[in-house]
Amino acid sequence: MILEQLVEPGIARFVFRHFPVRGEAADFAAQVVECAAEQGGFWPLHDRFMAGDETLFTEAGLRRQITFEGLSYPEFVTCMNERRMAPLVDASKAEGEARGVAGTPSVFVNDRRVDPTFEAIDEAVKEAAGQTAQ
Amino acid sequence: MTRLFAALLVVGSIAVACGSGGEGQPTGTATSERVERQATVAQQQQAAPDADVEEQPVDEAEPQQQTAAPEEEPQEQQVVELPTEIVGEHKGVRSERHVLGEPDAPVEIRYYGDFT
Repeated sequence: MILEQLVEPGIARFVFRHFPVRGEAADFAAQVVECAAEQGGFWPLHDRFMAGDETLFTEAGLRRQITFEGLSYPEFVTCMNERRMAPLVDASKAEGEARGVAGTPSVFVNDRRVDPTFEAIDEAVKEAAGQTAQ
Repeated sequence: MTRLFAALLVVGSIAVACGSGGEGQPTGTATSERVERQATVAQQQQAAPDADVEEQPVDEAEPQQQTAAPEEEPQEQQVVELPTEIVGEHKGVRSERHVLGEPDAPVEIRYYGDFT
């Protein structure tokens, strides 16, 4: 909904920030997405996790998905083993904390915090777009 | 003889009295010196905390800097630039790492989430 109605028409851009708060699994998933992003695979992996694909928490599932996206699995594994993306995930979380984020999902529209519902986001985006146009 | 004996007794008593007084004075001097020394030590001991207090600002300067550091950290963290290299399109819209949509779009939706 956000993508089709607000991003595609050019009204808004959507920025994703990691804020892993649900333990090691959340942190692992964030690093999976970032290690995939190193090879250009951020959004496909983001979408799979958001869709609740539990196979991404298994080695076989990860290998299949990374390979399916045309990414190098050995390179991906090296990135994960070295925890190369941990500082980036930490920085993303720290940015959220600096804004007062304590849980997920948390949404801001032009730095104004809004409820994480489409209706609230849609209303805030259109209000902000109107202000920008004036 | 009796007078001579009595006189000797008086002289002896005076001598004894003078002797004890003579010893007493040095003792008194030693005591006063000890008191003075103790007072000096006490002053030094009192001075020591003062010296520590004087040094404390130097010592406290570090904690103050440490205290100030966390206040600066969020500012530093806020300016952390996450990589946003262009990787093409995703679902028909321009995509960068972490960003979907046109960079000059008037509104930004920033979503903090985790995948579990």
